[in-house]
Amino acid sequence: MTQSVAGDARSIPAIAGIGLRGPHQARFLNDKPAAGWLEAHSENYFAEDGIALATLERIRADYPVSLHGVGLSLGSVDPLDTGHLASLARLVERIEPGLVSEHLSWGAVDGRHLNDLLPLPYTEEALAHVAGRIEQVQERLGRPILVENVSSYLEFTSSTMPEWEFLVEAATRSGARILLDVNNIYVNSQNHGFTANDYIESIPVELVGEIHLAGHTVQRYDGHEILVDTHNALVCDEVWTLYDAAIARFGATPTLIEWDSELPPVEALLAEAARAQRTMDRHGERAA
Amino acid sequence: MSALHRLQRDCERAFRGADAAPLLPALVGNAIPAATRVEVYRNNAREICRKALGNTCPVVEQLVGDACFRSLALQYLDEHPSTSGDLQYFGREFPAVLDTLYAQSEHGYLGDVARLELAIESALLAPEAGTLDLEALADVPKDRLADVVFATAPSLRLVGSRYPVLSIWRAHQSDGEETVDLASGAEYVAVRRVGDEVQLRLIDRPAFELGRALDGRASLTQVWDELPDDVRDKLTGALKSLAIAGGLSHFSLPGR
Repeated sequence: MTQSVAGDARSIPAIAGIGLRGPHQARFLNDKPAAGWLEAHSENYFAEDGIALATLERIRADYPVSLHGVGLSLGSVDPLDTGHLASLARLVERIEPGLVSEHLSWGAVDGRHLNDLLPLPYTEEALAHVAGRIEQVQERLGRPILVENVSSYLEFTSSTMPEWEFLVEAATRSGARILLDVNNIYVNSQNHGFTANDYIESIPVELVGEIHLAGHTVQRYDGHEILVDTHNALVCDEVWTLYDAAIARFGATPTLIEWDSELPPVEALLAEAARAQRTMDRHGERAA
Repeated sequence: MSALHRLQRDCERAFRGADAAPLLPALVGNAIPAATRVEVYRNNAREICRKALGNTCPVVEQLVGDACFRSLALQYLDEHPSTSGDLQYFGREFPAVLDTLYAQSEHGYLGDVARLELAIESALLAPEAGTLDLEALADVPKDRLADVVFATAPSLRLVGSRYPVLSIWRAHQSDGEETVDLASGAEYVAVRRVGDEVQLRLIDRPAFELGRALDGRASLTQVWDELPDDVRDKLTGALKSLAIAGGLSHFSLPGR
């Protein structure tokens, strides 16, 4: 077991970490539980003089921190929100995170925001557009970012390539790396009927810089079951099996337990992180 | 318009609850019909809005109950779609929406409770500041007091209501009183950041009016015309009350 609070706070170690959420902040400030690293949602810390950012800076002194954005709308046809990007750049400069990531999705059009992570059509037009936007972001931040595959509940007839090809091409063309959300792969495989392991096998090893794990829920719509990425539950057994296959392929990789709704005590997240860590340790021992 | 733009526009309209017909031919339909898949995103849009408003206004959510709050969130989403990828300020218009719906009803206080909750969130995002140096202020010659430029604390937010708005808010905290007399009259609240917390203090109406008139930074001479007559008569007390509530951070005297 290699989890500890110690280490170089400027890099994200290839171990398990957990998402930093508001109700848990006091624990990290006062008790310093042994999480390998923490991931914060960038937008929650945009206020330059607010309490939230001051708190993150204090936590950052003790833990490696990554910044994960949810609002940049990389795939939107609207012009890139330069104000939002400037806020992110200021935050990155101040926190010096080990990793910076965003979603390969869109969430706004014609100035109207849905604040959701919506799927793109997997077309050459969308690919060229989003790759260019990722380049813009990386140029502004002066560093590469990671782009994350999102969960989806529909597919577009105009798509000309599978989701994994779109993800790999977007990263390759822009020079970004991939934040591979294994739960999202599983959710999409069930919602759209593809083999999740094929997705994992199609991702070049060198592109993956981080993995996300989370819980989802099965919801019923008009009598049909659809898996929805709700981040409010334990990681399910099928996703753990898929994660095992991912670690077998990619090796030890910074792995984050995401939990956003119906937040349990921090110990529950740490227990999930410990399980991910055991998977990485097991594969590490095999490799040795 | 590009194909991608057209598709995103059709999605946005459908997911927000408008007619999904233009989008449906662009969606794969299989064992699960395309219209059913659209419904997932519609539900997500409603939930995102409800959660954002609920995070900002948890007391309003408690007061009206879950079902009513969901309905209010849906109306808010329709009337005030988000204009930013950052949801921090999404609820800005919520008090006005509540006023429109409830101002003439027995629940007329809801808009002001929402204003207070927005003020708390806003103060959390503002910088902290010191408090007024009263000893230094006492050294200012009396004939120059009207020229003193006062600066309000950057995190100061003032909320006034004809209802006991702070008492209502406090009653819905975990350690709150069980009952509030809605007929107990108006309350004026100074909200400001102190360290890692937000402090809420009752102030009197003259202090409230003076704080609003100062609007960041001004001298008493500059704000004189804006103040109601009864506040002018109580200016010294209002200044003291505002200072004690931590609403003033510093002062300067031109030419000194």
